[in-house]
Amino acid sequence: MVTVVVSDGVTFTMEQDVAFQCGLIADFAGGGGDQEEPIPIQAVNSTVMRKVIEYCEHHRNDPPQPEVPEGTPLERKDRRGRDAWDKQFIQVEQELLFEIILAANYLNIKPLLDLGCSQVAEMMKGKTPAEIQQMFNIVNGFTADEEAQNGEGEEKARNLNS
Amino acid sequence: MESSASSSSSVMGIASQAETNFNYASSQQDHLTTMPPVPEVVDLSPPISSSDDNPSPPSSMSFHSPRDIFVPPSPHGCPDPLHQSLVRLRSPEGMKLPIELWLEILKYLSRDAMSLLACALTCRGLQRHAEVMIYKLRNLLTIDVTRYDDLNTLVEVFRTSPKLAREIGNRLELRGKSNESVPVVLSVLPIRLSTLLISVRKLQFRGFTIGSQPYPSRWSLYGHAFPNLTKLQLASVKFPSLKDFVALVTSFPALTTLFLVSLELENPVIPISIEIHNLEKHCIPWFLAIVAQPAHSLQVITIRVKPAAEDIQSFAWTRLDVVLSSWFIVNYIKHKTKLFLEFWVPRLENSNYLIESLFPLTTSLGMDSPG
Repeated sequence: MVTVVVSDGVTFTMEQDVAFQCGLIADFAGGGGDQEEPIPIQAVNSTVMRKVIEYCEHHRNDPPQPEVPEGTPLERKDRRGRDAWDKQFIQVEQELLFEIILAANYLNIKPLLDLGCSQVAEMMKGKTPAEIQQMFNIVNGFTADEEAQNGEGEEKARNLNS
Repeated sequence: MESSASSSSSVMGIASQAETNFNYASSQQDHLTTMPPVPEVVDLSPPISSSDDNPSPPSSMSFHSPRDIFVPPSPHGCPDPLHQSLVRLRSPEGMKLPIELWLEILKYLSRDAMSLLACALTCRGLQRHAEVMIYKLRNLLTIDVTRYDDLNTLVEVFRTSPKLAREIGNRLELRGKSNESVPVVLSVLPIRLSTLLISVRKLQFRGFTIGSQPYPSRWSLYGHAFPNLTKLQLASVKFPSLKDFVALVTSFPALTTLFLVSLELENPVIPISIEIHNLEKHCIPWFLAIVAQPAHSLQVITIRVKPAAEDIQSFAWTRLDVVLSSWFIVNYIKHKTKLFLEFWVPRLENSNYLIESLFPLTTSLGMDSPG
């Protein structure tokens, strides 16, 4: 068994095959034997850790992922690897989704990171720039000159169309 | 019906599985030992609404995010390489993920040109990365003509990045939904893209109905928007009249190759029919309409025909041979335009018969084999 303690002080105990899906924990544990001391995971809180453990529990018996050849489009890889459970699992609020992505990146769980990133990409598909900005609360960061240039371009286009 | 049945069963499957997983997850709580001093789980992650004031990732995360790197302003907008590389690493303002994770996300859009274009306009932080990916995608630029927003996005990106427009180059696909009339975008498109896509060599129109608008006079604008176009493919497109078809095709001054598949006319009703029996009656008008024009530049016209298996067996190939021969001699010699009939064979077992049937036909016409 492996025990971890997260940022808000909650302790989680899990079996090795579940815990070792997290590259970070596997590195901490040194690859074998039960850990007596809890491993500190200061970058993840308990809400996110529960989701991470739920994911690792579900995928504990998955065979190792085959190496994807360099240059394979990620969309193709995504279609192959994402099952119905994963799709349901990742249907969470945006804030939690981002925290899962950050946690997967920190804990080094590549399949979960891929799942989270593909979900965000899915949310962006077919959206206009304004919709994306609104959805993710993004400030565009373009300078006033650039905005003016865009505006002039649009004005010319409107004149041409009229 | 089959598809909807399977889809509904799939939804049911997900729902029941989710329920199972929920119960399973609850049962796992027994294995999670809560430390005595902590009465309940406390989420320390910052609320989303505070992101404007503090755009860093949740405070509990100890990332060395590149957004934390101080980037001094570049004096006079000088494109200093070091400055540029630092700017490239900055995370867009307001984003809750570090830029390297946004780049991971963009990789999932690497084949979706319009989404990448939208990302390029979303913010400065994503612009450069999205544009680089669009460069790599330039052979697959697809515009959904049923979405006016897509056209706006495209125009906006190209106006801010003329270099991207110049490089976009080889192929542009205008894709719609079958049986959906899309006059607005089609009539506006050549005006709005005028001079932005002069390097486009190949253009595809796929899957839509061109309504009574735009008028043929509008089609000449396409020639101005795509002066260097050499290949045009029209697939599953319904034209209002043969006049529109001719006006569009002949508007491109440098066009040499035309590929037609499943075209239809509203008035008079002339399809490039799937049925081979109609080949003689329906294919030739399309071809003749083009080659009869005095100043066309076409060298090759390919018409794809998908004969049904039983038609291949029963068709009077010799009759077609005679008809095409006479037509071919007149038009090929006069206009130097080659015609390829590309037959799609539905079943493999018929292919030998088809090849045997076609071989004397193509030989007698002096045409190259369509392969």
